Amino acid sequence: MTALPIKYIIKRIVIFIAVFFGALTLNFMLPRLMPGNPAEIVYEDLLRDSGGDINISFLHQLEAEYGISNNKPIWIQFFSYLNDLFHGNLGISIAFFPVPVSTILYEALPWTLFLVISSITISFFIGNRLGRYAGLNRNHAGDLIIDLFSMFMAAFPAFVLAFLMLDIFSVYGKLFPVGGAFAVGVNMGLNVPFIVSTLYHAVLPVATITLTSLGGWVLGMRNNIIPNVNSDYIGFSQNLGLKDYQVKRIAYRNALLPNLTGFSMSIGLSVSGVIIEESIFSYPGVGMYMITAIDDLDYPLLQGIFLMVIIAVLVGNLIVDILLGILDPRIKQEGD
Amino acid sequence: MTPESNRRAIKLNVNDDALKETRVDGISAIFSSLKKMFAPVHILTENGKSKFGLILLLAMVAFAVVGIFYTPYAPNAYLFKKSMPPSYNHLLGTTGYGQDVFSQLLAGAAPTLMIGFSVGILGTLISVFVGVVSGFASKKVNEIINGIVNVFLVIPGVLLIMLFGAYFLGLKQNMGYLPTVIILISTGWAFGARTFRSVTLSVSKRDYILSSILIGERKLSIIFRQIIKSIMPVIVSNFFFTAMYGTMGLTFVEYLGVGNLQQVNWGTMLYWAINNEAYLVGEWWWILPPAILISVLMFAFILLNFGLDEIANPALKVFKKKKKVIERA
Amino acid sequence: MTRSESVNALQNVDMELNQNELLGIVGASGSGKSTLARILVLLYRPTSGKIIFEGNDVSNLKGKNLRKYRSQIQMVFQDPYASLDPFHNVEWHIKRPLVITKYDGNINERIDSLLEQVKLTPPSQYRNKFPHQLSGGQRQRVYMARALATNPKVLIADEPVSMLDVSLRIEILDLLLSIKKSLGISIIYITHDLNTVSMITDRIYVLNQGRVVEYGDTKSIVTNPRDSYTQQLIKAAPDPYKKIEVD
Repeated sequence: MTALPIKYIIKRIVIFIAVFFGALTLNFMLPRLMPGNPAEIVYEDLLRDSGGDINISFLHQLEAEYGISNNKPIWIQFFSYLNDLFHGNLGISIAFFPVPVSTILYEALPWTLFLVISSITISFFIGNRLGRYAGLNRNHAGDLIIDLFSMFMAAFPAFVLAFLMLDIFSVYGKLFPVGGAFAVGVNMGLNVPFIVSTLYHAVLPVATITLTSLGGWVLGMRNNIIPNVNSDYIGFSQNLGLKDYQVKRIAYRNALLPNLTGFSMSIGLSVSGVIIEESIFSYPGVGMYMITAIDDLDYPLLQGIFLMVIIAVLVGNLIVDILLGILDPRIKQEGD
Repeated sequence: MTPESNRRAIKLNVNDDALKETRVDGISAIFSSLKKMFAPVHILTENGKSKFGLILLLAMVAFAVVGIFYTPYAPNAYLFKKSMPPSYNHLLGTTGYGQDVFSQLLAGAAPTLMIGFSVGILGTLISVFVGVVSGFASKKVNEIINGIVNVFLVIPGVLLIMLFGAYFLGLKQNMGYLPTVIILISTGWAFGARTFRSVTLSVSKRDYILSSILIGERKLSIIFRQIIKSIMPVIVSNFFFTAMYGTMGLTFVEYLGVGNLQQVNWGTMLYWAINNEAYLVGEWWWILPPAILISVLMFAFILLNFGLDEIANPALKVFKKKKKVIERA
Repeated sequence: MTRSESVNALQNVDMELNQNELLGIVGASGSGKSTLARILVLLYRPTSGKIIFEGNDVSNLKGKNLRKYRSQIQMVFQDPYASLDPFHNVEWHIKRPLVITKYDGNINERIDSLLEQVKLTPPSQYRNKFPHQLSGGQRQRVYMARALATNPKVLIADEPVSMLDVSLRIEILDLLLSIKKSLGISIIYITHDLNTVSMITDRIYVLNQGRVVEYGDTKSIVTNPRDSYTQQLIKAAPDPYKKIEVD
């Protein structure tokens, strides 16, 4: 047995590239599918807002930003779009004119990734533990409470929960800061005050996303462990005289692997949650910029966010998939 | 008919059909046809969770039906003093714009439920179509469809909502709820498609499907006459899941401001309440009622989805499975 | 690391089926007999070799021709609890093949006569029943009626009685014999059970690990096996007259 399922890994990478190009194409097509010219729409809006303070050359600049000009064939536009991308040129933001989109993303994306990774990790551990307890104590009061709680949390609109948390713990409780990623006056860098301040500011956002994304893990683990507990091999292990906690551990481990396939879904869900909640917690991630970008119809920024977040999600998925392929031989055979 | 009702019938029929000849007189015929009609509902009441979910959902529907015909005041008129706390005249107070919150809740129920249901129904139809076709198609077609489904699964829904939403906003046309529903369906079908694909793959390997292939049934005929019936519990369960997604997605769409903010529904109510920072100035009666009602609605959908999964997934019902073996023997 | 390899379940199997013959294929589990059945109805395609049916090579048929071939070769499955669709009644199961093969007589009468053929009488009592309302033996009869509805020339019965109570097995085997006699079709009876094979078949092939080890007239093989594997099979078959010696 060699260590790496190479065929499987190659397949994942091929899928990665395919999805990536799918997203690129979608991103490229959408402004071009708009009836009329999005540059004109944006230009007219800006013209109205600024009371005629912008001259017509800005319209041409916008058109250049979108790569739209009616006299070039579409595939040339596509190649120049790709060329710009590979040089890190994502255009210039309209809402934050004249800051380049890449600069905004360079500052915002790390914060978003920080929130996503920490909330996924925490909800994974807590969720699977709770699900394990519920599944092993099926139909007892504890199971019912855990099930209903996690279902209710999954049912609670994420951003309303964020507002309630903010209201209760920050505005009235004054336990946590109202916004920001770290306190004003702390120097960014690898120093203790900065790290402490960052963690302190992240408590509420991470707790909120963890609460709303817990349900999937809990219910998935519960439903995976129940058939395991009732399976013949567990009965066999009991008859062999294994201790109760040993048997439970075996059932848990075997239920954990199939539950891991939910990881790619949970990455998507957490990213969605983080993006929605960042604007509520005034957290300087991409979500905060996204709300502004939508309000101002800032297409270059929207496209940049779309692209960067998708790349992050895809890379995350690729890593998880490859790890899973190494851990669980059954996944390799399924092939997808 | 579903596997569940089948299992039931086995128990009954041991002394019902095998010994006696089936006598169909008038009353029992009516009774059994009624039973058949309500069979799906009957299944929902079998599991404690789905029963609770069904009760919650019916209460919501009743609330929405009342809201269609009656509201204490015009829901969208700025008639009253702004930000009044709850009182006898205004059960849930007034908004920061001087609208009656309770009237808005009543009037907003129907559109909220309609969006949940239409996303549930249309999204499920698409995912059944895609999933069943890919589960029953040749290997190549299967892989291509699977790839597309994976793209939609991997991309975070909120990004697509943002992208499509910005696109529709750019159109600058009032199309009512149409863009919202389109956005939510296009972001909500993929999960179900994956489920139906794997369920179809497993069903299509069963002997009774092979048998139909052998007698020369065409694929379409097998899909519509046999597979759809076999996976019906999964379809219903997925409907509730997608409806839950639709309701949640509505709040996202409205919150991001890519929906139609002139309409009254629970999502826009939340949007305006939040936009006016009702939570900061202590106007809980403006933000909490729509938040709670949306949660209860989504909770009902999740309960129904989860309860049905427990019914449909034989691995989760241990005790009944053991009984069945005894009956077979 | 696992590499996917196609496993050769059958190798150099060369068989012939005569008209109106009851042919037995015997082998232990894993001998490839179920694979053989599925290749014959083209649920699996042979990686090499040919299937000649009425003088034509059918192993690469597609579309319309494939459906036409399949209607002439029907298969009875091992598990009567799995081979009938739980959502449809008896009438539907028999009606579909009649509709598909465009039966040009009265379909209702044909359903009744098919049910009578498999000894489910009176037919009216069975037509509206669902599979779960029938016993295993009755299900297998319904399935045979469904298979016969396409008017096949060959019927492949893959372990048709192994899931049934012993008391019902004889009845189903009798039915196979009577079908062969009254309809003049050929039947391939696949089993691991030498007792039942020797009761009803004219000729047998003995399969071991994907190869034919012995074939010929049933009587001569059962009484005078040449291959060591066949000898083992015969030894292993329970003999009701043999006395068990207890110390």
